[in-house]
Amino acid sequence: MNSVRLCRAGAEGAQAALRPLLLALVLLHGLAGVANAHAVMTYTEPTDSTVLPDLPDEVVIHFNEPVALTRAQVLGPEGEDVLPPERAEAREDELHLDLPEELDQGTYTVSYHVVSLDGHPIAGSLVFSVGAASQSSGAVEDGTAGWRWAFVAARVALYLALLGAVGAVAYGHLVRSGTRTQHEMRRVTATAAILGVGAAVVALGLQGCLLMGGPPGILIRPATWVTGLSSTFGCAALCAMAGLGLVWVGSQLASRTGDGLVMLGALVALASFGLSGHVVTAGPRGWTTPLLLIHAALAAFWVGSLLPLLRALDAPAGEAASAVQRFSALAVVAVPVLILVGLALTWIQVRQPEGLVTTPYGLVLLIKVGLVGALLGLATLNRLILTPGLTRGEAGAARRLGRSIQAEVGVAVLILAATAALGATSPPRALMAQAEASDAHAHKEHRHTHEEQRLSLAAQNFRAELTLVSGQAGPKGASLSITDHAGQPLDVPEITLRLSNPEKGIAPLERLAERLEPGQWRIAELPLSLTGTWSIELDVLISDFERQTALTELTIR
Amino acid sequence: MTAMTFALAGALLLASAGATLAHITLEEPKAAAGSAYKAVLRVGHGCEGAATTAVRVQIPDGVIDAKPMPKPGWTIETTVGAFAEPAELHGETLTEGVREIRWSGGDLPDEWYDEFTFRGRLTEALTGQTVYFPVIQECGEAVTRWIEIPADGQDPHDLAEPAPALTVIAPSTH
Repeated sequence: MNSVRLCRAGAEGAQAALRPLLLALVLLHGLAGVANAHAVMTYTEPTDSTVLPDLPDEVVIHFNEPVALTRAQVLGPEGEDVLPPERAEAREDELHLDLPEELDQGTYTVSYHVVSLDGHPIAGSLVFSVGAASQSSGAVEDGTAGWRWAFVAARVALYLALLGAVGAVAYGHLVRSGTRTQHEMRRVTATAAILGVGAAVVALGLQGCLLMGGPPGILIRPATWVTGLSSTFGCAALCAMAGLGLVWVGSQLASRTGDGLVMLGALVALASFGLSGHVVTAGPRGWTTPLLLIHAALAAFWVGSLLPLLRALDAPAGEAASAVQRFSALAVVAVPVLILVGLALTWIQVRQPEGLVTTPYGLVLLIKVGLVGALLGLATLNRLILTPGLTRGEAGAARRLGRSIQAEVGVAVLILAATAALGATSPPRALMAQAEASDAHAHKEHRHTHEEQRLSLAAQNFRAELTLVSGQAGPKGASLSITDHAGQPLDVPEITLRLSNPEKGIAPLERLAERLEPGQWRIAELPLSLTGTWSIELDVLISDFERQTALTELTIR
Repeated sequence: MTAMTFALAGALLLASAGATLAHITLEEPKAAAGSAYKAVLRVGHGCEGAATTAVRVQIPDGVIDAKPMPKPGWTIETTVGAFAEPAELHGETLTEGVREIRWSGGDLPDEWYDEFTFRGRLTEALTGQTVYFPVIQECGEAVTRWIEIPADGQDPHDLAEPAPALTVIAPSTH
């Protein structure tokens, strides 16, 4: 064990000069029996996270026992090391870092590595500012932006296929029966189902990448897929795949049992909408999920009927007119309900009208509402002018109606894209402690700033979402929401965040989070002013006697 | 550097000889399954200089019939809870028992040493395992949690605040 420890201490980058000392310590250690002594940092001058009027002469770090210095550095506002090696010295149980005299104002990050009596490396950091805190050098990047848009695209494809398959089933049963139509609908449904399963698989992988963050290579790592599967979207994707699979099997049977399977599959596929997404977690679950399912089912009927309708227009004029009329009669009931339910869901999500214009989430929602308005306009045109024209057998009526329906399909695709983008835009959530801190829901759904960055972390008993926010100047703050794996807020006694930046040699900086309410925490200041890859460790005290840690990385450019 | 080496070596000798143990540990780290185990928690210092005012220990699964030893100057409380698995004791099946012992109301200066004693029976199911007794040391407002449990393959010495550990060996046959 002693030799292991020596090797490890060596690997920690101890200077060669330190080796005899370590060896002496280890030998003595062995002779003296088990000494469990660990040095701990007791306090620092200046205190961590303070803003000083003037540059101090030196930084002093106090320990409870004598320590030997391995390495220390002081990084200035620009990220440069301002401490010449000879100015760092350990004196008994104090570490003295003698700062140069001419230093700029700004934020300094002190990092130290020392060895305690028993040969254990101890490292720590502190941050202080002179004059005022430095502006953060750049925007936070967590390497997930590309994944986010790829995921949105896959989700649009999945939505299209889902609505296409389910809508074709509904159309075949409600609008137009007859053997020829049934046969055609089965073909459309089968194709859409296969496309949908493919899109769901791709989206699953991309969701994993989005959660993990990283270069394109991570798509092929099994861990990425496990992560994707274990998310709520993974659950929804599996449900959609199962439903679409049933739809496909049913459509291949071409029998009464087959039709039953198709219907069942369509329902299962629709249910997938109720398993994931911001709407599901907003507001009272008992309310929003049924509303969402009704919304999805009606949207599927409407959007899914458009393509079959277009095909129906190729039929002889009389037959085409009867199909369009039957659709129109159903749509007159379905569309107002669809819109009303959509408005109800919007109200649940937004509640404060100003959230619509001040947050990206609200803006995307407004775009969606505008597109729905355009779709309604086209539908009204069809119902009031073009369909009666077709019924009267006017020349060119079918062509004009066809063009209008094509336009509707185009608008519907854009609406679905907006819907998927909503799913990927972080719904406004608790940011910094402010007056609204007490109103959890309002927070979760409405507040959003452009400088916000989300990171997801998980451990055995919890899942956490860390939202980093750039302040007006200087260090970033963070809000933290913590839930169990079922998505329910988890009330824990204590959360500590540890940041380190191995590239810059910054040893762990600890910040204790402040509890706002069950499951909602904040950290007022995170000294993330230096660029590079930071590793983030979240220590969560699950109960008085159990602590669990989750890890992630963050790249700042 | 040489001066420092001597200083450190000297300090280390003092530290070892004086048996100042920085962690909270069990006096006897090994015991046989099926036996009654007298656990002595050794508290060698406060929380970063502050005096210890309370000590709480969690009794792990498989350790039954836990009883604290009275301790003058300290108020003792126990918390009873369900066992993960029912256990047999003197022909009776126990489904619950003491899961936490708390010594409070004391004042143990950082410079002094004390021991906190309780007894528990180690069920045979623990044979070959290492069980951990997570301890919370309270020093007024300050708290140190000796609750870290090493992950598979991790050296317990790498933990900053390890939970006191007990290795349970096979029952003695006689």
